[in-house]
Amino acid sequence: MANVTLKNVTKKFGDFVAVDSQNLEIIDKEFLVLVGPSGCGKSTTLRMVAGLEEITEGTIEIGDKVVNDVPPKDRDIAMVFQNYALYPHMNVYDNMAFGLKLRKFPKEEIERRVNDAADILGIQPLLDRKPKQLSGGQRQRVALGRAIVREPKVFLMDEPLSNLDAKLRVQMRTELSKLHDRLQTTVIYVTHDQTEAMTMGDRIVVLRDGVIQQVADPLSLYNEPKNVFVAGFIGSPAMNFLDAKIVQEGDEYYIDGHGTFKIKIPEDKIEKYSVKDYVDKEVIFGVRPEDVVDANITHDFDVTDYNSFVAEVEVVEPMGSEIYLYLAEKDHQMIARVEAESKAQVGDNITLGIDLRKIHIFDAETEEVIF
Amino acid sequence: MELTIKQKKKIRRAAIFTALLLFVLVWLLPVFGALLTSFRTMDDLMNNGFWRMPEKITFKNFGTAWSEGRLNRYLLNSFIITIPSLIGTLALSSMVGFALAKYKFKGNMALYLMFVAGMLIPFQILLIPVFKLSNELGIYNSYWGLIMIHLVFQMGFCSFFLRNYMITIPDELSEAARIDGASEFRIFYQIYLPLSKPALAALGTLEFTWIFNDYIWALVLLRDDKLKPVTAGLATLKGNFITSWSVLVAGAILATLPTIFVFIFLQKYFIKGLTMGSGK
Repeated sequence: MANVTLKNVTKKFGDFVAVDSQNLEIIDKEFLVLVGPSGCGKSTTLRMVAGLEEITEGTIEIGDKVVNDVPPKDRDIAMVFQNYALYPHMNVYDNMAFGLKLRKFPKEEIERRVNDAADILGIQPLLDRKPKQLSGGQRQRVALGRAIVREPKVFLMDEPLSNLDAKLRVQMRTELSKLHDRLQTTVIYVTHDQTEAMTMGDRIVVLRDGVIQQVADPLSLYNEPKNVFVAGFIGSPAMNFLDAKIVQEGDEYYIDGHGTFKIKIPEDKIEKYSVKDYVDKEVIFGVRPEDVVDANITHDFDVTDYNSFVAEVEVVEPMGSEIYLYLAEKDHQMIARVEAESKAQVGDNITLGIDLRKIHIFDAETEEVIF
Repeated sequence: MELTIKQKKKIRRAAIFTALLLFVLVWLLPVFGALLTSFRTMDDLMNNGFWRMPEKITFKNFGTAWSEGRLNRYLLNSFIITIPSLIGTLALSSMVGFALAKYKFKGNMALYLMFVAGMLIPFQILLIPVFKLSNELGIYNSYWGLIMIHLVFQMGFCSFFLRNYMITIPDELSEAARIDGASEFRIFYQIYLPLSKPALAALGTLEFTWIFNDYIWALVLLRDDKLKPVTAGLATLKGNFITSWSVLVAGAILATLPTIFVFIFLQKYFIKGLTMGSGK
């Protein structure tokens, strides 16, 4: 019923291209997250779907209807803003009822919907209060309530959790997910926080400078990033990137970190991807911190000369359940996320193993993934 | 002898207090003189001058000013002129302010600057052109003529003030309302206008005094004594050969009462308005 389709959507502010010919199909009942650093065009995209920004080129469809020239109120959408945008002079009930009153709903229906939404969100006792008498979390709920009562085809959420403190944000994150399960409505959610994106999204769209980098479900995005940007943006701490070169020795291929490390590329990857085309070419070697392991601890793979290197520990950050090691090897910097049992101390030279099943290499020029 | 910081502070306070007290006394002296004069008879005034205590306190002057001096009529005229001017100015300039604050369109800045410029033109240079214009339009010597002039002249400042207030109200509110289904006029009327209440109250107080106390436009645009507001009306109490000062002063005091009331009731908004926009 309520698919949202973007076809070649472009938005220009003067000469500046904020959104560059995006194609995107948002499936009915999906929780889709638009994520990217600030200025990547994610909010602009959302605002075009809402009808708050004009579309420079291309079309947006909601359901089967092109909505380019449909005013926001007739698009059957509801939006939750970053700063909540509650009407300060109205109480919670009126804030939630405003849109329904304007649509000339009968009084009993308005009352029923507002009360239902208030029950779902647990704000029933606050209905008489003014927004300034509410805490941040309560305001957030009212803003959600205002969207829910409308029973729209699509919810648009523009960084709704970024004004909350860390603890409340985590709590609201799960509540939002639950709410989505319950309401079964399409949600387009904008955030700059990759954790929010990973935990909430059915699918995630990674944006950069107005261009879609990759659209995928959270795990695919994490395990099979399409380029250096996505690989670096998703995951915390971020993936390690090291300049390297592919070298061939007989039948075997290695990633050579200009003398600091030398790692053998597994055979299955050589066959499957175009590794041979990159012999003697510059590449970017990428490995996630959790795939760099302390060789003194046993893992489900053997640490050999071909999947390990020695590095000096510069900083140790114990997180309780695990330890982050900040490593330096000549001019290369790396982070390893090792088990809490690791005995590594600052200044130690330790051997680190790399899980070859999880490594990535990227074309140094295009920054596109090779595998 | 060295003074401690505390002592220095005390001395500075005392000096400031004395200076302020002096200013207040000088400021209030004429008011005090006027009060004395209004409570005494004309004979008493002739015999003893302005600054003696009255021989006998009388309220007769107020009665004379009210009925024979036609203050009742003049005060009524003042309200007939002030209230529509005030409402009209606030209504129109709040719409102008909203449009200038919230819509991006070509010439927005130019239009805004025009209102600011209008605020800066000294009205004295416009007396004769406006007089001629009102004759041409056939609104000379009528309430409506004066009301329209007030309305137009106050719009510069009011639009400037309200635009700068409304620009501080977040855009998300209008966007939220637009998505909720509100028309542009409803956004203005149900969201921005109620939220601008403090600004409107402050402006209302200011404008009430300005329009109510206007003398020169009433003098220039009204000929008929029956139409004159209290400011211009008081001047008619001054005879050609003899002036009953006690009655005139009593009338003047009556004329200031409405503005004093407005200030007392709205002063908290007024003070808020003066510092509005200076900080969060």
